[in-house]
Amino acid sequence: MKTNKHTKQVALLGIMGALALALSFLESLIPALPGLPPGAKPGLSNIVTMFLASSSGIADAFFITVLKAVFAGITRGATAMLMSASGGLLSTAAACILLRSKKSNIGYIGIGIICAVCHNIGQLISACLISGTPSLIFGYGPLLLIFAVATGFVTGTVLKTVIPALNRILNRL
Amino acid sequence: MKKLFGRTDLIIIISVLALSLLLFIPSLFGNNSLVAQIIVDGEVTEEIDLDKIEKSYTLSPKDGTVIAVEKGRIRFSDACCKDELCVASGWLSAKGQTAACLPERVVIAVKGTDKTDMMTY
Repeated sequence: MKTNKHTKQVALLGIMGALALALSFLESLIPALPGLPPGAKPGLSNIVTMFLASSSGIADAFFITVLKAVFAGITRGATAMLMSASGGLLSTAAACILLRSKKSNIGYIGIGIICAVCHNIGQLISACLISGTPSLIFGYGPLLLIFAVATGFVTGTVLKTVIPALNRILNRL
Repeated sequence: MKKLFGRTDLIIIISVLALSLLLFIPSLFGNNSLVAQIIVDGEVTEEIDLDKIEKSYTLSPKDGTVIAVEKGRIRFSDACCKDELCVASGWLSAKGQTAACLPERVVIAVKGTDKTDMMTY
């Protein structure tokens, strides 16, 4: 039986949306570790948007990013929604450019790190704007950047193993 | 298919770490006297010299946030929001540390009394 292309996309977005929301809920359960900036998360749900950016389409990746922000808004309030949106949109934009470019020779770990840094920069800028305190960049920035290297390393490694496997399933549908 | 790790990736890691070090430099300079600024809606409403605190106390600059002050340190001790990220920031006791409560737009920033360092760097 041949599946309709539209049906395939709806099913894919449904699965990926559920996965992204489940992962971001899972991350919110991680307690604040001493020495790490509060609210710093491993960014597991970014793996979903990065996979979509590389294998499905730019529109799909941004759709899930907005869905994540709305979910954060419903469950954790308006500030969380703004933080999720500002970080998510910037990081998804970076993922789309880097993962779809044929010329760039940045590997998955480098892409993971750049996306994590973009996510932090977006959140830090909106935190500065909300609180009206630009010095937050110096207070939180250094730790967030070091943390971004660690999480980017993880997301990049996961992507490298997951993308070929998921692509095989996608092509069989 | 892209590779996992290459020379470009190493350069990215090094430059991100260098940037984090660069952002950290301003916090290292200046003398040891600690002043905590409490910033509500982007304006400094209170400046507390943490070295001169004799008895610990709490204050509430806005409904829903409680700040505890002790000799040499300050923290958010209670918040009205669900995630309480500001409370999770714990005690602030070194220059350059900040804790922010975004829902109530309250920030605690610990500064040294020497104000010239930010201008020099």
